[in-house]
Amino acid sequence: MKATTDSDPAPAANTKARMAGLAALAVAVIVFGIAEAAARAIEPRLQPPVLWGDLETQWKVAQMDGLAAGGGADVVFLGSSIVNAGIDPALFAELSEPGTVVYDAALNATSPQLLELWATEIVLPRLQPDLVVIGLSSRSLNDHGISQAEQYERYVESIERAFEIGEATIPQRIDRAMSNVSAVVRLRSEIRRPFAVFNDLRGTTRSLLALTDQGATTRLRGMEYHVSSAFRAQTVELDLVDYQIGGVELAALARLVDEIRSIGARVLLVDMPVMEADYTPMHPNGQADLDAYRAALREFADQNDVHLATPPDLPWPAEQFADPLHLNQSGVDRLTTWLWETTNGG
Amino acid sequence: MLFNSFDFAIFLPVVLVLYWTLPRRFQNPLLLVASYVFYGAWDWRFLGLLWLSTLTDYLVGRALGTAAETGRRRRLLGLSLFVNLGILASFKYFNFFVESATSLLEQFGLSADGPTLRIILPVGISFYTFQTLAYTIDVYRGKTEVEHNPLTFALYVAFFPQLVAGPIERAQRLIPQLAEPRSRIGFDQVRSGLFLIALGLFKKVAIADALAPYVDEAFSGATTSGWITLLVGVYAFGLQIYGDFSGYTDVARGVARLLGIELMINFNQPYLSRNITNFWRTWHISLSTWLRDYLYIPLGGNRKGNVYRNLMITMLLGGLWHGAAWTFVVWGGLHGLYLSVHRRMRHKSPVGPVDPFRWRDVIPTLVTFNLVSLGWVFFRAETFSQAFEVLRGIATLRAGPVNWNALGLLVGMGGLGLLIDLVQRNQADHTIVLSWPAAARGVAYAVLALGLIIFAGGDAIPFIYFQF
Repeated sequence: MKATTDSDPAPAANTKARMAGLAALAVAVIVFGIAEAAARAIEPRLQPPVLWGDLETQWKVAQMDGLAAGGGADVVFLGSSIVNAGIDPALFAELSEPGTVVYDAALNATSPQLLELWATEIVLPRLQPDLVVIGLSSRSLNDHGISQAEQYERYVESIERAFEIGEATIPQRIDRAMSNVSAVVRLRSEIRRPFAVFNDLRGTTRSLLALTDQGATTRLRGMEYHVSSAFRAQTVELDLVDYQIGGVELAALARLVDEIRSIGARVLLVDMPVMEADYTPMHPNGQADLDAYRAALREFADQNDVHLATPPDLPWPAEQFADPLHLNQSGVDRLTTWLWETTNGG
Repeated sequence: MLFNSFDFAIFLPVVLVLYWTLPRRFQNPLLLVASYVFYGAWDWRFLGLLWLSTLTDYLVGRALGTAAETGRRRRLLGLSLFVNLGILASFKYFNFFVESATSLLEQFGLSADGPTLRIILPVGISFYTFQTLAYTIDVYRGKTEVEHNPLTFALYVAFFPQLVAGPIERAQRLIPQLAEPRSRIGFDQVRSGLFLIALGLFKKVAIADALAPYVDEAFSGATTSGWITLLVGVYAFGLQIYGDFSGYTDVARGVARLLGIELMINFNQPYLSRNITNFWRTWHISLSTWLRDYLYIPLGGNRKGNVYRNLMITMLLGGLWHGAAWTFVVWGGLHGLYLSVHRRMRHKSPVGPVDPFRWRDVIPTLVTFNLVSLGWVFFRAETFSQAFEVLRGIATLRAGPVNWNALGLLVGMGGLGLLIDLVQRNQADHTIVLSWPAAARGVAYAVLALGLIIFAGGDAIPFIYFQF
């Protein structure tokens, strides 16, 4: 680009302007340096930056990296929060032969479309399990689920996933390089949430995602049955909205089963228990939608020659649930024990 | 291609280097090719419409230059209107009109299955059709010269910095700049051009995109969110659309300046307006002046008796220009109503420069801002029921959890946006920061850089006005 000579100021003024420009840049660098120092100072007290779809995914990848180094796992659970909260991998391991490694690789809000990617790209290569238990509920097969789609997008778009599958773009590579150098860049997803930073610094951040070493969520175990308006709104407007079993999720489930079998592992589908009295009316067509789901699942199991297990004595009482979808401690113990018996020839 | 994308970060330097190193006679051909590449990056098929519009108005303009007979001139103008408005009607409004007619028939118990088109809306169609129409109307009125050079005219229609979201430039202003070779660019132009680009990207990324998720959260949860979440969402949308659109304009002006071309200011601190008339003199100036010159005045303008009708028609059509939905029409109608009411009481609230630090102006400014925010509810909502749910939730103080991050960001970014506007208040070029003392300038540079670093990342979010 050519510099003008149309109205060149006098050399002295020109020099002065240049010096002022340099001084401004120096001040900018100093301010940036202060921000960088501040970010480094608070970094140990903040939540780690989210590089996967969400923090839960991130923590589970880290946990599975650790398990992979130790030889993987024998039994793996897949599903959504209903599996995360509803099965106790520690109890399952306790009931099994000593040395059996059990891991709960379920992700909140997932459906088979995401599970297929998650299992193929992350879980199966790391854990090389002998048995994979896939827990499902009617929300899993809804092709129109909004929260399921959002979770899928978060995972697919995450920067670490791009690196994991070798498809990182140039901007993502630049981003990672800058993250390695600068705390401001590294922590930016946290800094964008001023109240979260404030809570982190005060040490009052609620740990909603506390996981056991085997990947399970224990937050709901101590709860008594309760249907909150937030749960109802989430389920009706986001999870079960426009309920339709159109084949997209079923096709993904079929591919997932094939992938699991391709590494020589056994597959078990579980129709997870729900608090039917409250959960059924949350479907747009009530009982008809739930019946359609169960029929589709049975047909899928027959067509794909997969064992489908249904817990005994359904429906289970409210005392065993924390909310219409998630079991509490009593329900978790009952389901895990039954699951162990089922998978071990009981 | 988006201004806030990696592709554009490669595209622009390549264009600039070629532009300033090639002989001057290649400047316009290069810019035209670059503009078509920029536009074709969305979908090369859209180029056909752009070429159709360009060819029509170029030929009509030349024919108008030789036509003396009034009837023939009218027919030529009619041809341009038919082609340009026909493009708009087909690609933007056809389905809207068919669906509206079908819905109306159903109200009367009649069943009709009107044909609908499976088409996607070409990016920026409303902007370039209005720009090229303005040229033809001005040639017809004798207000601008006929452009005989097809290359210059094609570049006037397609100039990439302002092609997809304005400013809608007038031929008298842009064509003479494009017709003359740009021989030099000064250090101050480079500096201020880069500053405008950085400022625009900051407004887009650190204000608009940062607030976008909270706006989406509020509107998608219109039936269940608490009133604070909804109110934060409404105010956040006001900031989002301002940051998004004025940010786009700043980048467009900055890029054009680096090419030696000056584009008009499109926003002049609209939220500091103390009345709605002032708001429309400072918001999307290129559209509001277009509507004034080519719609409001031909309708009769301020002539006694028709002024309220003319205001309403202009604003209703202005609303419809934004999108093929009744919510936009209501938004326009609401502003038409505001303007009419303000016109009635104008002696109490005179139009003039704004000084929000005068205590007597603070309340009118806040009232204006809230009236505009009320309008944004209809602009942002996907349906009337969503808009009314948002308003109902706020009016009934519906209980619900508060997203403190959203509130914190709204206050922080609102404060920053207000600061930017106060600093630029009554400044002709929006680059006043460059004349500040070195220390203050350095702090401003650092804030811009930090904002971009913290809020950038992930996929580039398209500008809101691209959909119009």
